[in-house]
Amino acid sequence: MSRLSSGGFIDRSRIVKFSFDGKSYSGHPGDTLASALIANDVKLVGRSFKYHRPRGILTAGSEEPNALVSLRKGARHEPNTRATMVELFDGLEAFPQNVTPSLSFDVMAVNQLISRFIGAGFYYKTFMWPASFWEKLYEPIVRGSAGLGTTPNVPDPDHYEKASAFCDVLVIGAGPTGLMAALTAARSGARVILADEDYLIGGRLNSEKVTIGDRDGAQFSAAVAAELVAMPNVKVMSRTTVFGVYDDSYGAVERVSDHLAVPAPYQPRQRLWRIAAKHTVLAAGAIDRPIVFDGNDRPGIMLAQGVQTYINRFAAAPARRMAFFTSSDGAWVAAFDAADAGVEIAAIVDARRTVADRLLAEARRRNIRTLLGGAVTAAHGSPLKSVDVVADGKRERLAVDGLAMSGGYSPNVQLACHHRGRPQWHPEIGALLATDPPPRMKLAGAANGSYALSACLADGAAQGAEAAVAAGFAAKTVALPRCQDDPVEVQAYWHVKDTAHFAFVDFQTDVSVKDIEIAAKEGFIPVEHLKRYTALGMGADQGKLSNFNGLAIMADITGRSIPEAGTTIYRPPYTPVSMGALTGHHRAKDFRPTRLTPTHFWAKRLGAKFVETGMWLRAQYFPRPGDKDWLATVQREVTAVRSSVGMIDVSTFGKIDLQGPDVGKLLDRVYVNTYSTLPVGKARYGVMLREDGMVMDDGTTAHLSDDHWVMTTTTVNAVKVFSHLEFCLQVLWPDLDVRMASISEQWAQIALAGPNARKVLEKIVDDPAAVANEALPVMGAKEAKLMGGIAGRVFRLSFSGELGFEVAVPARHGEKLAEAMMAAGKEFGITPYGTEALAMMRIEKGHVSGPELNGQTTVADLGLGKMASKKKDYIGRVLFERPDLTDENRLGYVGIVPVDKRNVLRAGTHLMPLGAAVAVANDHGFVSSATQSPTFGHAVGVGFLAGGAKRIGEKMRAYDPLRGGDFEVEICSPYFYDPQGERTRV
Amino acid sequence: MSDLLASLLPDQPLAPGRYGADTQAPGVKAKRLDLALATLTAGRGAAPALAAALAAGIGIALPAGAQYVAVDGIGFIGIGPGRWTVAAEGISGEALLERLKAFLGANGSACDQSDGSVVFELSGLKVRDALAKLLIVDIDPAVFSAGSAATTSAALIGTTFWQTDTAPTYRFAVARSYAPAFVRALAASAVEYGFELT
Amino acid sequence: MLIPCPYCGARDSHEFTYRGAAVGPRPDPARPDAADAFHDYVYLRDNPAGDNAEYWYHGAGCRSWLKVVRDTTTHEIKSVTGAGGEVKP
Repeated sequence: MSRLSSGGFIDRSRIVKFSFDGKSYSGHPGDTLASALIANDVKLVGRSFKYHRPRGILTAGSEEPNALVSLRKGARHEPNTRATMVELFDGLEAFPQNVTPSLSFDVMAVNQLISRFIGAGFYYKTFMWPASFWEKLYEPIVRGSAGLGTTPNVPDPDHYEKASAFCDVLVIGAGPTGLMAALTAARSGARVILADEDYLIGGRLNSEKVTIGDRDGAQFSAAVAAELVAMPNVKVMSRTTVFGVYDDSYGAVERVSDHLAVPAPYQPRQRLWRIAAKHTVLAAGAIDRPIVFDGNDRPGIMLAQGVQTYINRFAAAPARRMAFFTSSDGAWVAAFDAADAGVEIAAIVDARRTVADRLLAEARRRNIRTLLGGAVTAAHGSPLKSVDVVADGKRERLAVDGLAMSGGYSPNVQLACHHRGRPQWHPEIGALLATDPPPRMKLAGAANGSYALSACLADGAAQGAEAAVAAGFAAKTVALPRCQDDPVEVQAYWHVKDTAHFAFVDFQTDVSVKDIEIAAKEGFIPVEHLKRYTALGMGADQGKLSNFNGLAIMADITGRSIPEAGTTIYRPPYTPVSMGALTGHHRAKDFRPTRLTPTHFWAKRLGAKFVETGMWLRAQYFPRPGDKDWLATVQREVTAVRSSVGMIDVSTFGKIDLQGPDVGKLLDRVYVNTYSTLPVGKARYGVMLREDGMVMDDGTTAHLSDDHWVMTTTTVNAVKVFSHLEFCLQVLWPDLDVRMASISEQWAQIALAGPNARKVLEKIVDDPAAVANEALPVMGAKEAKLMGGIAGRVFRLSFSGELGFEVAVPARHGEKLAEAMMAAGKEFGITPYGTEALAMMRIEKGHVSGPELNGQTTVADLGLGKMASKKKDYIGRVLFERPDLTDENRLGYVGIVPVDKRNVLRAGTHLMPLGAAVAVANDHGFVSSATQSPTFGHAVGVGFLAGGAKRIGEKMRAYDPLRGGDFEVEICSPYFYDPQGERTRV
Repeated sequence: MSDLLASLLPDQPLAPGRYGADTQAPGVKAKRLDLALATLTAGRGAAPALAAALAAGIGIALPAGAQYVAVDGIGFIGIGPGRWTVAAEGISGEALLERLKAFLGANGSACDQSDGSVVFELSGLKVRDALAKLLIVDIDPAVFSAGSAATTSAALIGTTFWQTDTAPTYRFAVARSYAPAFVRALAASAVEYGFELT
Repeated sequence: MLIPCPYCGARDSHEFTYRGAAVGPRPDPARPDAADAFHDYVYLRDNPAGDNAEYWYHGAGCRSWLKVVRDTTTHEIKSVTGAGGEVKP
């Protein structure tokens, strides 16, 4: 065990049991999975992506590229989790990934032997020949070796939520900088949100031994956190990663229950936050940069910050004897902390030739050997056994089981670059700093290149105050506690020259220096090309540890400077976000809200089968015992309507109330036909165009009384038509006085259709005489009282081709109306019907509907050209009259019937000349709607054919390759049923 | 998915009752109200005249923006330029319409919407926390208080809502066909605090 | 992206529908070159990388049509007015 006997923010009084790779271990509350593994001397945690090299834990943070493990079994199994971010809980089961068959013996490690052949871009040059091998051989191999963890195949038992939050100042990162920024802003009265990905507030204050005022770092951060939590204008969000900066909002994911075996009752697993902040302070800190040398990926090699964190925060020593390889002061302090905790330090090797005297003194005090101007040139052993060091021309091999490295710091500027800002190179600190952050965001502290603690505290306080002032609050200065002020000197050092083969740049995607050389040789030199060609920076860690080293090495190879090499674009998310969090409760049936018609439950009681029409549930058909199948049900419904009477809920149509002196004028301008002359008491079918001349929607508009009209639209276009009319009234013709209100939901509307429709209607209206043939002629529209005093409306309209009425009552009476119709119609065998029968009848009648109003058809194409007025302006008129839109050879509306009446006609079938070759040039048109008509005893269809009605009588080939149809059809009139409309006039 | 939603089909309305965390008092309460509703629209250029007529006739100062004002049990909520939702307690939709028409003249039009929307009254100590999961507008007391109103989207469902007092108590109007889905989303958001539906 | 609606205040762009560039006024259909004028009105757009005057409809809010000047490269909104004139709250 490498658990130190004292120290750390762990609860030693409690034991937490967990397993990894099938073995049981124990840790303490406060541990991460990584710290507990280190405390248990587990060196090997996974195998690398391509070469299956053994890997150990590299860091202590979310930038971890190696220790990707799977957690849990069964439905909660979770792949690709960073062990460094997993809060240990009792019973946690963790598994290594990418191992065949096991972590200690992985046969895929053989890939290392063929590494010469599987360098960068090899898959662009292989697996191509022979082509026939691809599906059966190559693809399965590639699929098998692709990816890291596996996902479960069963539904997630947990739920997720989404929520919005608003604030004046958002502070990202709760280390010393962020804490001061939040405190200053909060004390001014601004609404503050402070977010940190860690479960423990304090950032590096929990990993470094510092003094602030008269307290140590952890005491200071706890005190500030406590003050913030108690303030009503502050929301402290731990375990919350702000992952993306979008336009005017931030995306964040709160890991509500990841640290529990099972979420608490009613708690989500994770919560996605949309945060709207007036101003933001990005205090995300900075991370160590790895150094690239041969064997730099061996288990036992870590970044210096990580070593410091494991020792100070988790009381776990990563090794017994360590060397430190660095070019920055911070790693020296890490070495001192390690030494003070009892780790033997073989040497501190610093690439710089001079280092601050105080550091040399501290090293001497601890008897730590220091080698300046030196380098580690190779690491050996898996796990690590020794490293080769060169200094002053001398070479030696140090026996160590741990190496800490730091080639400088990379400030976490990613969020500041999500709006395409590119960071700039600052050679004096060897770092890329953001210069063009998103609007109203400022960086502070180490994220902005200020590494000394005192500078961080001051910078945080200043930026917090500035943000609060910018948001309109009077910021009070916060007394800055005194703390160590030593400058932190850093020199960027990224690459030991002349590496052999396995000198890794990107640990997660197994990209080495050799791969960058290949990319340069093959011309993939711009960093965006380097990234895609080698996969450098494309892993789940998004290149946090590799992007800089990669571009710097490419710059070296091509003889350019770092600014000349440039950086790739940073994109959200900063760390991976689960699909569950992005979905929230909008899953499965809750993906969109379900809309129910006023008669939904009545239909359900009658056993209706429902269909989703947009967001609506509509009754599709009403099966009865004895119906052979759905088609038999639908045909029975159609026959019942045509022989007696049926009823269908048509409430889903859009309905718009139009009042005012200028309604007639408006209608004339939006419909192709004339409405201003429509008398009170009548309705008229109309077609609306888009300004480009194509048909947009059709509907029926009724003139109920002077200055009072009701328009209907199709279900699907209700919203579009309303917004179109608003555009007309607000933008095009603001002088028109029309008062519009959507009344789609106010009215339940049920259609009665069939020769006995009036007989049923007479029994439910209070005054039967009002619906007699002359009192309510075809297309009549009037208000009427129904069912004993309920104020309703009756429209004499027919979509089916039979005598028909649509009856509207206020929606709360919808079911009552349906029940009343059933009772009144019982003696006539009234049959409820659904959308299938509705469609079947309108096709028999030849009415155009959705499949014909497809956005590419004009009124002329649809055979409705005579409706279009030549005497008035209307929207779409000018472009409708374009020669190409009135050309007689356009696809025109026709009917289609099979010559052999046994054939089934399907929508989508192509119409081609008999005997012509199957080729696009011979495609003359298509069937848009078809049905198996019980009225005619065979299939009938409607569709579009070049030349349209001119070709009635012609025989053609109906070709349907998708479903195997190929038979002869005859082109005919689309108006199959009662073309003169006599049945509607009875 | 929360157990609640998983066990309820989209067309099974949530029955009145207590749901979720077993807290002393429910953190979120929702009560379905029976209000008379109407949409009032001013004629072109006639909003000032309409406001004057209603001030004289009903004694109401018609709100010019997204605000809620009420007098004698009749509330006017601004939903857009020259448009208001009118919500009244204790009278029928027809009676409300007649009442409004008495003062309209040529200055505006009204139509009955008593069946078009369902109104829920929401309250409870945790009502803002639950609403944060549904709304994409800010209802913090700093920017939204008694008399404020908004027409927006809640969990993909259109709604007009207004705050009636500082408790806070809100009234949410949603289209009738969306009401079951709204209750679903509200319940899912509120169960962690204890939810009561009446 | 937040669009400051004159009636409702700043609202998320999801509450709006985008129509396109704020071209206009609608040509006079009686003019002799109406076909060309309407063609330009319906189809031709400048599509600038930079400030663009556009029509947005606040469909999930107050249903106002708005004329928004937006930088198409940064999404910064420079101005918002009622598309048909003053939108008075």
